[in-house]
Amino acid sequence: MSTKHQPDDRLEERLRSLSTDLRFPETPNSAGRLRLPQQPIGSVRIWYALGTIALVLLLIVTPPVRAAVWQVFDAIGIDVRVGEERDTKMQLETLDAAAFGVPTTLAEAEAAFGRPLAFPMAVLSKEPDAIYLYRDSSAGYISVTFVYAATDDLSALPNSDIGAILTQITGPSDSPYLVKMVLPTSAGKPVSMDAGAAYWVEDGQLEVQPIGLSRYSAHVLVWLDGLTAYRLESMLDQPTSVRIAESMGPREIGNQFVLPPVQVNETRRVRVGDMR
Amino acid sequence: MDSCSDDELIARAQRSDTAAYDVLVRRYQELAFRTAWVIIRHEQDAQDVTQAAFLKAWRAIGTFHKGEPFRPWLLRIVANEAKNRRNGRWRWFQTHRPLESASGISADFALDELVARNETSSELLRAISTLSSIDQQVILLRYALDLTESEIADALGTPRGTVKSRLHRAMARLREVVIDEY
Repeated sequence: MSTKHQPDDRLEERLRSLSTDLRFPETPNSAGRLRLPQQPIGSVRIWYALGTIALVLLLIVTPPVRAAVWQVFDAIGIDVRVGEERDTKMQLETLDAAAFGVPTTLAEAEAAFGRPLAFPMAVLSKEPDAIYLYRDSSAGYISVTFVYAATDDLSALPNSDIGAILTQITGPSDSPYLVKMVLPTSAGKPVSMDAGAAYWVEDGQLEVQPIGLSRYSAHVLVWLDGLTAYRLESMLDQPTSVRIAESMGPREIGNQFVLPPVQVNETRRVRVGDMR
Repeated sequence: MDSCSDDELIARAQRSDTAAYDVLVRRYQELAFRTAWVIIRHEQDAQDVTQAAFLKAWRAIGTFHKGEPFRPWLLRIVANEAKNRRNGRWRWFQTHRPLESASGISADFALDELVARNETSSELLRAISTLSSIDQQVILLRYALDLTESEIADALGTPRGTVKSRLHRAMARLREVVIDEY
């Protein structure tokens, strides 16, 4: 792959030809096949709206129904489950050292992950302060976790000096990559993002399945983009977290954001536990 | 009735003329289906979304403002329906196949329901397949479906400036992939 720069004209010209050169799956003929109901008019439409609002309120205030709603949104890749509170006294560094694997370099992480890692271009656009690699060879899961130290602009997670934890996970498609535990009292909702389906949870838990430990987590956004599941934990609000998620992409070479390769250098390997 | 303008057909549909609405459906069903497909990448789901979107549009056509363009309004409904479907079922993710490691292209992004009519476009399609889903989406909407940036912004519910910058970024990434050829 060369780095020479060429005008976009030929590429754009080729792209424009796609509008005639591509054959999409055949369009079904919907005309005449739609069962068009009588259009609701005036006050009838208002009653529909009020009825819908009442139903939504009922769902939100009824805990068993709310739990069921979570289950409806269960999906392969990220499994959202309602669970009971468990021992949450485990300290962040002890737990996450087990959850996130071993400290590693960016090059090692990329090689193990098997495809380009994605990096946030917004808010967390600096180099991560630590990188962790977790491999579950038997189940085929691999996760890479970027840890960002707290700064003046990035509030620390409770009981730590960590500002944000960003994990990307890949693995087989027939079982969840990530179990997102929410408490019956958790505030959470599905979030619509261009990259894919996402959940926003406040007051949830991080559960580490293999060792059966859990802790309260800060605000968490989980989402899928293609074959990769992501989890972002921080004290940032939902719009900012979504902005980070939507900015994720491969490193851009030659543009404003270039992440320098992380060298194998012990001083750069910041353990979660060392950051306190 | 086929020669009637959108405005005329909409006015009739607003008076519950189903035949007029059928003409609108025929006129836009291909674009609606392809837009849905680009967002959810699943043929059956895209078909369901297209039907559901036309039903929604029918129910809402009484609120359509006379004189406004029908196409972006319809595309917004299609895109919303497609995003809801994708978020609710994540079927795209569930149906993906193992990685095609030899080609370096993930099957999830492989766009293999699309067929290019010549080798040049085929190569370009392969290059697009290596991009992230969001980059693919914006490039296909812009170039394969020939939507304007403004229509893409309307459909995806994002500001036009955001679409512009996403497209710019996606093009930069695509250029990195195909730079030796273009």
